[in-house]
Parts: sequence; C-alpha cells; structure tokens
Amino acid sequence: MIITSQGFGHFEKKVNNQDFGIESPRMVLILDGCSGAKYSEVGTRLFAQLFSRKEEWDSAEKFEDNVKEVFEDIILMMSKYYKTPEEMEENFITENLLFTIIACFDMGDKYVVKLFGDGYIITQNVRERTSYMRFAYGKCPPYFAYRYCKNLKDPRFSDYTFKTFIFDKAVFPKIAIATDGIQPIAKGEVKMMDGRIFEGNQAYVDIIIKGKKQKFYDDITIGIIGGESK
Amino acid sequence: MSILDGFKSNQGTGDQTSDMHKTDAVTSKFEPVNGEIRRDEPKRVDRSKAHVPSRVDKPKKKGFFGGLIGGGAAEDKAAVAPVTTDDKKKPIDMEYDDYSGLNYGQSSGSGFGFGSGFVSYKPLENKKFYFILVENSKEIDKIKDMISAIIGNYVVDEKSLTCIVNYGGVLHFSEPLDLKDLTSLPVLVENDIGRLARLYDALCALKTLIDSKKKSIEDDKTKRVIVNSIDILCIGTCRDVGSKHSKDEAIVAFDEIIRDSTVTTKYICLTEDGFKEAAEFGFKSIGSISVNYQ
Repeated sequence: MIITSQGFGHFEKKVNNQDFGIESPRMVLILDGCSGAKYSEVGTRLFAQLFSRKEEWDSAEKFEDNVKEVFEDIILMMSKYYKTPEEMEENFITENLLFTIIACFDMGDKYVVKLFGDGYIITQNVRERTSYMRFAYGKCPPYFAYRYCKNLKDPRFSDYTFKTFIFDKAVFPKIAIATDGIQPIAKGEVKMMDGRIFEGNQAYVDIIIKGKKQKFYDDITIGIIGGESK
Repeated sequence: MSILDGFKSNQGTGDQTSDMHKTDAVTSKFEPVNGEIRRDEPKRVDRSKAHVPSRVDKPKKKGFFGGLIGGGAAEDKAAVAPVTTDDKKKPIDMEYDDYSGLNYGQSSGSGFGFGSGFVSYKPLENKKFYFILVENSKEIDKIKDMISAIIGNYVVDEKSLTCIVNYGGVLHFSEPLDLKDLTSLPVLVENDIGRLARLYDALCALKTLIDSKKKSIEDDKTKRVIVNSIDILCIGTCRDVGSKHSKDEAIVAFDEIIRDSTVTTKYICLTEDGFKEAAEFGFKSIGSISVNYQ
C-alpha cells in the first residue's frame, strides 16, 4: 500500500508532489524528490516507470543492479540533447534525478530494506509499539545520481552505496518505509497514527494527513507491503 | 473548659448574626483537617442538623442606636423578617472555603476573619518530568559537550523537572533538577566511565521510579505538584554489558512504561547500528547524533 500526499509547503509554493511510489506483492518502492531541484517530480515518475519495466524488478537480489541500469539508460537517452557532459550534469541530472530511493522487500521470514538518501523506516515490535527510525544527513543528503556527477563539491558523495537493513519478522512483525515528510508524525505532533499506519487503512491515514495538512510542510509518502492502494 | 462551655456561655448574648455562628460552631460535625477546633472561630454549618437559632428571635437592643433607630418597631419587624436595618449596613458573614493561600495547613491562624482554621487548598501545578538516560561509556565521554548541548536543547519546559540517569557499572540517579540547574550539571559520572553499560538494569529501575512519580501529588509549601507527563530521552549506543536483568525483562518493563499515552520516548544513538535495538524496546523516535552517511 502506498499513501502519498502533497506537503502544505509545496501546495503554497505551487510545487507538485515530488514523491512517487510503486509496489508489487513482495516489494514496495518509494522515491522522494529533492525539494531544491526544479523537476524532481519528473525524475521520480520517469525512473519509477522505467524501473517497473525491468525484468524481476521486485527482486531484492537484483535491486541495486536494476537501479543502476535504469539510471544509466535515462542518462544515455537524454545525452543527445546536451552538448557536453557538464551541461547535462548541471541542467538534467541535478534538476531531475536527485531523489531518495527506499525499497522494502518481503523475504518470507524477514524484511529487507534498502535505502539510498534520507528517510524513515517505521517498525512495529511484537508488543505492537511503533518506532520511527530517522535517517538524516543534513541539508545535502547523498543521492544515487551523484555517481554520474563529476563536478561535485563533496567528492565523497560519489562513493556512497545502498544501505541494507534486515528485520526478523519474529522481532518486527510489520515494517513500513516513509519519506522524511512523515516527521510531524514521528515527533508526536500528529497523534493517533502509530498503529493505523500498519492497519492498511488508507482512508484514515489520508484524512489525518489532510486534516493536519499545515503540519506537513514536505510531501509525505508511506509504503507498506500488503493492502491496496487507490 | 470543654468545647460546649462556649455554647452555654454564648447562649442569648451578642447580636443575631454572631449568635448564629457561635451556636452553629458547636452543632456542626465538620472538623478542620489540620489542627484543633477553636471555639471562637466560625465553622462550616451543617444546616440539616444545626439549631436554627435566632432568625425569629427578637434582636436585642444595642445601646444608643438600638433604642433610637431600631426601637420597638424594629423588634416587631424582626419577628417576620430577620434582616434589620443594621444588618443591611454590615456585611453579612458568609461561610465558604478559603482559597486565599494563607495559613496553609496551619491550625494557628490569625483568629481574625474566616481564613483561619478552614480547609484550605493549595493550587495544583502540572509538571513535566524528563528522565534522561546517558550511557556512561568512553564513546559518550568523547562527546560529552555535545551531549550537554543536546540535553539543553531537549529540555525546554521551564516548569519541568529533570532526572539524569547515568548507567555504566553502577546506576546513578540525580536529584530532580530545575531547568536552570541543567546548564552546570556534568552529564557523566566521571569515576564510572568504563566498558560496562547496564541498560537493561537502568530501564527496569526507571520503571520502578516512574511508577512512584506518575500521577503522584507532592506537597510543597505553597502548592501541590502533580507529574502529568513524562519524557524519556536515552543517549548511547543501545548496547548492554553486565546487566543483572535480562533483555526480555527490560523490554517488558519499558513496555509498561510506554503503555501510558502521556509518556514520550526518544533514543539518540551514536551511530545507526543501535537503531534496531532501540526499536526492539519500542522507543518511538530514534535518531542518530552523527549526520555522516555510514
């Protein structure tokens, strides 16, 4: 199930929802577009469309290779529109392809979460207590697209890889992933959400988010394996 | 002299209003919580059982004014209507609980007015209680200035109380501190920095402490204080070394703490490696001090 809602800050600035997500019965993928980029929503939707066309796109083992192939395909396709690699880096990659990638896979007895960028992993333990793990790296989080940029201010960005977290279902029966727009819920500013996220009650979560929309400055997207999206 | 002596000696004397009070004081079953009954003090009236004395009694003449203004006519009127011209001029003594905050819990009041000897209520003040658990380890010791800053930023409620719990080889609970005391407080117990980190023991001890604090009312000199919300902040690596309690016991104890919706929890790990461990306990918000992509 994927729940996504435009942040109130983006609504005020007339910026589209830059988050996007796709899912299959054994995997959910959410993408959080960089707010500072002009066309993040284009990059997230383009990437998700092409990614879902890949063979075994919802396989955990092939996930990182699939991501890499899709990025390279997109850059190759677009390269003829730009005279130099530097121009393409400045005008296409950094304006379209900067987004966080978070994927959650159901592997039978465990969940595997792969993360590149910043975001949240939401867990529920055996006593049904919800925890919000925040992965934050300041104002400039690392993005996968930096691998294709040669003129970075911080060269460390090009060496980053996916983080992988494994959650045993005996300890954590339920796992969700979310973009950093969920922060008001994680901080406790929006109540009555902890258990509801995992119930798969999309309508309820939607109502709460829309009812408290002024607290959600950034776009919010929650991905949970199972349930049905709109 | 017994308490009834006053009743006997006061019968039929004085003016109408004071007569009523003095009589009522004896017939009332009300007793002040603190202190002894004083015979010259007004007391709460149990109207159902009180002798209703002098509303139909004739008021007695009181010297010059009683004879001149009141006269016989006043006496006649009093048989029908108890409030005389003189009574209208004077404020009528009313009986009510004294909230003024004077003579709290003291039986030996001034003896004047109706503040003394009555049950008085101290104002009830809500307080937030912060429990800050800090791992007493070498890793934390290296960044103790940052830890102090984190604590300083986290505790924002001026009326709150804070208890800093250091857990290493021993558990050390600080006295409840006000906000201003936090700035000068060392966050680590210097002589206990080592390899032990008894997190499980600390969580079990915390449960016992919170059970005693939660919803309890503590009397102060001028107010009563109730702890109506609790905030738990834990800073460390989320590892345990050397605890007497098991992990399961600690999880159960912590779960009982956070069952109450007024309890908020947060764990700040040194690195992301401790996230899963903190989530296993059920800390709601889990973050990392480091912003490096590890």
